[in-house]
Amino acid sequence: MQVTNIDIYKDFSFDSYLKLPGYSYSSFKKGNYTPTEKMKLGTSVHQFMLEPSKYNHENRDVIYPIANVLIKDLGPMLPFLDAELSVTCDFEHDGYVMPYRGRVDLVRMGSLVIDLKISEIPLNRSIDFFGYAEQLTGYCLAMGCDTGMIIRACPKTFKTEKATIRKNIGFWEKKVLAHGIPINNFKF
Amino acid sequence: MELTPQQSGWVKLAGIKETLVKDLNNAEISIQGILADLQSRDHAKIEHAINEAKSVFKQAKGIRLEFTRLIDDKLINPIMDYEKRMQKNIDAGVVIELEARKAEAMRIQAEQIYLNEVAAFKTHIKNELARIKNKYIDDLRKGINVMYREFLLNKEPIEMLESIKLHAASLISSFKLDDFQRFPLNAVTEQQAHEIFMDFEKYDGTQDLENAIYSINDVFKTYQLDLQNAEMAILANQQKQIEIDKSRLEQQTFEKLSNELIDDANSVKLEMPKFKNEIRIVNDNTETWALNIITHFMKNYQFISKHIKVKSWDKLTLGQMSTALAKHIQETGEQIPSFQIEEICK
Repeated sequence: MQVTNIDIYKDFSFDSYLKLPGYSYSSFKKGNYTPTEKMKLGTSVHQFMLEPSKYNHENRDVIYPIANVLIKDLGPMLPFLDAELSVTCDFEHDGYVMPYRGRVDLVRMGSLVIDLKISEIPLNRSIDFFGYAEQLTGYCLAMGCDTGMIIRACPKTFKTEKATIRKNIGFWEKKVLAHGIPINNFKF
Repeated sequence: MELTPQQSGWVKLAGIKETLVKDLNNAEISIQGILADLQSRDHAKIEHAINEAKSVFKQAKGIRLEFTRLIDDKLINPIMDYEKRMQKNIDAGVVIELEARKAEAMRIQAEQIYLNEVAAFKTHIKNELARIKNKYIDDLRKGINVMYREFLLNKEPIEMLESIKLHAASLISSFKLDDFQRFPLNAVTEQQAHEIFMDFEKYDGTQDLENAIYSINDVFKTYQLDLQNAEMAILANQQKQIEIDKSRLEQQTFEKLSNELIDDANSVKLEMPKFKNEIRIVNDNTETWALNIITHFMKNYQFISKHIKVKSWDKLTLGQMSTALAKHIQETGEQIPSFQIEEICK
């Protein structure tokens, strides 16, 4: 797998990100995307931590403690990380190329991707169930990072859990072959 | 057919019960007769009738108690003894299970301490190897730049450039790698630590020294020009080095924090057996104890009422009050000096 034509977008809104070309991990999820209450909770925590100007200060009683445990866990790492970075690039494999797009919670380019999850489900179950390893592999490839990490905060216990993912590059190789076009056509 | 002693006993019991029921029936009818039409009698006769009825009642209760006591002694209690003995056995088993669980918890805790130390040691090795490498690279870079600065300050003639570069290369070649800082070992043995350490690729600095010697040419390539205005060249070089230092320090700090975060995420967290600690108020079965329970129950009632469940309030017992108070103490950690507390691990 080769990654080319990498473009990084800082200070880029989520709506603008959605208009970027390319397949994201979500493109391959089945079913329609309708945000649930729990997803909205996650969005609020993300906004409070990473894009405070967008946080509407609803549900502060829940959002604050969740965000605080995450901030505590990340601690002195935070100043070294870029938040809500969008990326587009091309994934090339076996003569085919597929445009990719992704939006990462926290990243140190070339080194570490961190995805924050607000969920009651332990990571040993959710990583496989929701395909987090595949999602983060996409981010790692696009951002040139060795390590993809998930930090989960439980909205009930306000405790965190961390795990690094085992990269599944094969997943993206198959997607390139299934959804990509021959490189020669693409470059032409 | 001849009956066994037990069958004969049951037949006999049936006879006794039949007689008892007849006697109780007669007593009931007798009391109904004694107390009939009371309203029409004067007070003395009513009082006499009630006393007479009480006497019949007492006698009836006596024969009933004699029968039920017999049932209790000969039938119910011996049967219940089975449950008591079984419960006693189970209780003994529960104690053994608790001890086994505690032993398991201690074993797992010791293993967790060992695993945590292994993880911390690995992180330490990573950080130390990175520190030694970074310090060596920085020393080489700084060494070259210090010499460059000194040669400029001394305004060494350009003819000396090649020998200056050779001197610089010779000097930085004498630089040594920093010592590996020891990690305080407790749970991990020296031998285990050595094996862990051997799994890591060591840094010897050879490649970075070659790169640094190669970079001497780059650093000194403007020497002739820089000599024309040595002070300004030194200042510009200092500024560049400050920027490099800043950037490298940021990267090194990030790497250290990142190593720690990743190692923490990858560390093995063993599942500990669960224990439930329950607080109980020791019952010393004294009047003072009873009064203390009542006093503190009433004093804290607003907080402990949620722990009270009774079908009928007249059945509320001191035991229930004590249990509710114990739950309150457990929940809040409140100290009540009047009571002796015991903590039961389950």
